[in-house]
Amino acid sequence: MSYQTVLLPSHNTQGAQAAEDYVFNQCRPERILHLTVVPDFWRGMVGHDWLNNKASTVAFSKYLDNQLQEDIHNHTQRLEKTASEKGIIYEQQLMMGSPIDCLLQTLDKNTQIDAVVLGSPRPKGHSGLRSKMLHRQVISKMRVPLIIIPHPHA
Amino acid sequence: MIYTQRCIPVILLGIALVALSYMTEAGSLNSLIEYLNIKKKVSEIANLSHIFGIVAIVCGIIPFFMPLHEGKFDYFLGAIPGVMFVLLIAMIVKWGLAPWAAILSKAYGPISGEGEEAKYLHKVLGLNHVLLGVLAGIIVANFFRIPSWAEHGVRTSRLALKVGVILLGTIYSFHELKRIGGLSLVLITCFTLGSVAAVLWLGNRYRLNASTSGVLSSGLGVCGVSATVAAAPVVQARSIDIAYAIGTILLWGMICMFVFPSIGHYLNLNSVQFGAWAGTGILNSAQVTAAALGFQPDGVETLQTAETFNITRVLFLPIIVVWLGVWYVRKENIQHAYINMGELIIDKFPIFVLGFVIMFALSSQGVFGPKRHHKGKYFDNRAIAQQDLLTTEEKLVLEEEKTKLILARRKQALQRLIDRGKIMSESDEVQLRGLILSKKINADGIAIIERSRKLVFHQSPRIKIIKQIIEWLFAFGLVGLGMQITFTVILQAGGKPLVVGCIIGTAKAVGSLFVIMALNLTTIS
Repeated sequence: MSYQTVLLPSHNTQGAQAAEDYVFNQCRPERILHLTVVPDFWRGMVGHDWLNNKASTVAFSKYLDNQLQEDIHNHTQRLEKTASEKGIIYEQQLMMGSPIDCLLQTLDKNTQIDAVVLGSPRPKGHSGLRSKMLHRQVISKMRVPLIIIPHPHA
Repeated sequence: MIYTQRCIPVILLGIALVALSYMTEAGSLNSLIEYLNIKKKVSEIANLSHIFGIVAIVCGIIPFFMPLHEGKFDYFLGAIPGVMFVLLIAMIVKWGLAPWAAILSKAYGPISGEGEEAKYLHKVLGLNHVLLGVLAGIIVANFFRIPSWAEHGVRTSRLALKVGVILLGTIYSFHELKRIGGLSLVLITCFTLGSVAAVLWLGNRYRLNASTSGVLSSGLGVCGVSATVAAAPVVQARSIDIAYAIGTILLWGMICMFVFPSIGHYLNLNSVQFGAWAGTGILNSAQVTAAALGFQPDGVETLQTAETFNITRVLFLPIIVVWLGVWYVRKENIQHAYINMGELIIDKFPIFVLGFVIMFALSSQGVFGPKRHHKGKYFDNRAIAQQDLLTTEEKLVLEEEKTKLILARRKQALQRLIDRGKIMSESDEVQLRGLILSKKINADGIAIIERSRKLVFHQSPRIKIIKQIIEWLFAFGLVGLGMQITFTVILQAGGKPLVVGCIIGTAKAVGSLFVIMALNLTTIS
């Protein structure tokens, strides 16, 4: 089955990279909407500690912000390059908040999306941040096909 | 950004506080107050609710009658609703939940011992207003969410903790600071430098990259989140390194905050021992305060020791950051790297420590009470009424107990007490205190000496007020601290950094406990 517009929520994890591979090499849609969510737990990582004053918190927030931007930029560039090589139109949407809410909001706003491709959560024993999109809430509210790609280490 | 919001809840909160004040004064809440066994707090409830209720009403009404603009006034006014929100939770916990927990625990009966030796569940688990306040903050932030109008003000809790530490400077004596400060310097030097070095070594063994090891070593070795924040740019930490380090530190800090007081009570540690242990063994410095007050909520002795250790380790932060900077440059073989050590040290120096030193200096000069005060109490045996002097029967008891003594200076001090009917000097008081601690005399003798000691020690009224302010600043600050602990952040702890964190956290907690117990530290009071 071929799709015109695929929503690819990816955060460069191994599971998400498997989903990217599937989209670029097997699914091959005309257009990819890449969703990047900065999870809201990062708000708690900006150094709101009793010893830090406002200046330290602001300086550290900027540092963390730059780090996250750099990660996102590198990831986006890689996907954009691959998409261009494969002749696929690439668009990116950046959001901040709960990954599940952001995914559902994107799906609601973009009616042209006709499939969502998600990577599987990492198997036990593999390290990574705890923030996943594959949730019962997402599955139950899905109005287009949801394709789940197996984790490379499953 | 405009911080001030027009919000009705603040006005309602103020009205509720004023109503509480009037109801307390009118006696409408007497049955509840009696049930909760908080009669001693009646004036505190009436006064504080009245003052803060008025503040909440006024600050809640102002935004409705003036245009909102950015600026300092907006910044401070916008913080008031959050302050009131945190304060309300602190009040509910301090006047309601904590006394109720004590009543339920006493009704359940002692879990060990009998009479004066009885240990109740709330004491062993540290279910007092401090730890319950932190817990309430955690529950509000994670299960109910902090209202948007309160978010800005909640952040002021860290300022309250700093001001609390600064004010603590007023109740230290020179002798005490010298003794605890010296001890803290030795222990913190060993444990801080040791744990930083251990993390760097373990990181190498576990093949962590240099940035992860660097940021983790700073957080685990020095003072937790603030050290992580300080070291992250120096070791070019990536976002994932920061998430792992902060998650691990907060997870350990939260466990230690609730577990340390229980272990301290179980092992019968005294206030100096527990303060030293908490100040050395707990990874995150914010949780040190909570654990110390959790162990001894109705006094400042444990807090004083713990904060001395806390301040000492915070002072290590600039040194460690410079060390990590140099280590990272060498490890990664970065060419043309330039580290401005002077700038780094000044930038990372905790300025509030200067406030603490200034308050201590002022206190030593007699600004808040007589120069030679100890924890706000000073020796003065001049104004003792005739009827308060030792009675003939009491003198006879002490005469008999005197025959059991061997040390000449203790015998002489006791003799002077018998002769004059009151303690004659501070050095005599020290000898008699040693006599009590040695338990060489019977319970009657100890009770008589204790009564005599109370007669010659007076509380400085200014320091008494400062102590009350400190108590509330910490109660407020720790509820706010709880609100800044979020499970989504803690859940990020994982992978090899968590393994390293567990090894170092356990080694630090257990190692420091052994050292402190081996040193057999005694209380100074």
